[in-house]
Amino acid sequence: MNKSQLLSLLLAIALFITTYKLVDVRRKSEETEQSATTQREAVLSVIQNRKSVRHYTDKKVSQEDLITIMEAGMAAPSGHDTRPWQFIAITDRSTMLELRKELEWASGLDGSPAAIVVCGDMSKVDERNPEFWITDNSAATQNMLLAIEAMGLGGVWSTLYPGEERMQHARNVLNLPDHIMPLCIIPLGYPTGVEKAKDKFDINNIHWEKWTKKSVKTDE
Amino acid sequence: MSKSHTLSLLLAIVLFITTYKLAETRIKLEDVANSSTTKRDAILEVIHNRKSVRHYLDKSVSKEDLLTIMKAGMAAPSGIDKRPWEFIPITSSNKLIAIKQKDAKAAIVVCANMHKTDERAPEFWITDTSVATQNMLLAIEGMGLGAVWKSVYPWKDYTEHIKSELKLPEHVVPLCVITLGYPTGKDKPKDKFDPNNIHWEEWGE
Repeated sequence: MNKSQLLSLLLAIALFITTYKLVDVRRKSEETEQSATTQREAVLSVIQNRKSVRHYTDKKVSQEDLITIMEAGMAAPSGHDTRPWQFIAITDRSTMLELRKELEWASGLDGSPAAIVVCGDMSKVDERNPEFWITDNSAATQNMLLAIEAMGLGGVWSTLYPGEERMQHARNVLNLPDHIMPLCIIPLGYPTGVEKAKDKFDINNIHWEKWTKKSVKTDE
Repeated sequence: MSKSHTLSLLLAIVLFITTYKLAETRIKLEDVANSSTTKRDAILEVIHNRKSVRHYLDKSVSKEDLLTIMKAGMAAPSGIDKRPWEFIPITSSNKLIAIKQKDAKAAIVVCANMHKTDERAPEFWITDTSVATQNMLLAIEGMGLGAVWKSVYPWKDYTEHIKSELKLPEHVVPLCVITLGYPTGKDKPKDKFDPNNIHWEEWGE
């Protein structure tokens, strides 16, 4: 083989490798483009994909993730900007099982690796509208549920308010003072995948410009 | 030039083109990766960037966008899955003036239908419509629009005003008016993080 042939061979090998790389990078580029999402699409899809998740794998939720979730909760709007929330983050299974004892519907607590109890702080509310503790903490809870969904975790709003007995039970277990009103418990963890999101869109809930009477479905 | 030389030259040219294409595609891949966002990052950013927007550009909000926003509202969880919400979107300036929101480009009056609530816990109307409202506020932020939650509940006077202006029947109760439009950029988000609001495992001062 002369020098020229050797050069051709080397060039051919180099070309083969480069072409292979090019195909590979092109494929990756296409994949990335498809999975890339705009903020608008991401937010709308997380809102629509959020579901009540009550079944979790054994994997623990990190303290860092719990803080990220509670940070999202504190970004909620509040009446008169009083921010009357307090969050109790629980990773101790015995506390969750103690809470579960009197909470008939909170089946998420049976196997959740973590839970956040969302509370109203009546020492922070404006005396003109103490009721804002309910709306403010509801908004904070939804922020947390959406953060949970987007982080690949799953959670569920297990109600305490307005059940007086349920609220009192949570007070006893968590040593809450009188001015702390527990609204709900969010058990959370990595979802097993059994729960699916529901499509709850109903055009009858929309009344353009004014109230319009529409048939109300009574079947449940 | 021998055949072998010609082949080498051709191979060299093709190799040059392929290498150039490879470099170009790599740069494009990096650009796409940098400008795209993961769901986790996107939602956390929207949650933290959401602000009460009270200043709007002179640009109307499309009916399609209002529908997208209300769809997000209906994806909220509700007590005993009752979904007791009713939304009244308003774009007419006369109506906006009538409900005392003349500066808004559009509004969504968020109400609960007490006929849809469960008699064991009618109070869920407050939590359920609050959650639907928060979904809509986040959708609005994510869509590049801006809004503010104007409380109707628990103000008695404003509740009566809204009920009479919109001719709401007794069993339909307004929670709030979301006023919205394209933001001027004047309103900024606040950092409201406070570690004192977090209590590990049980209540602690």
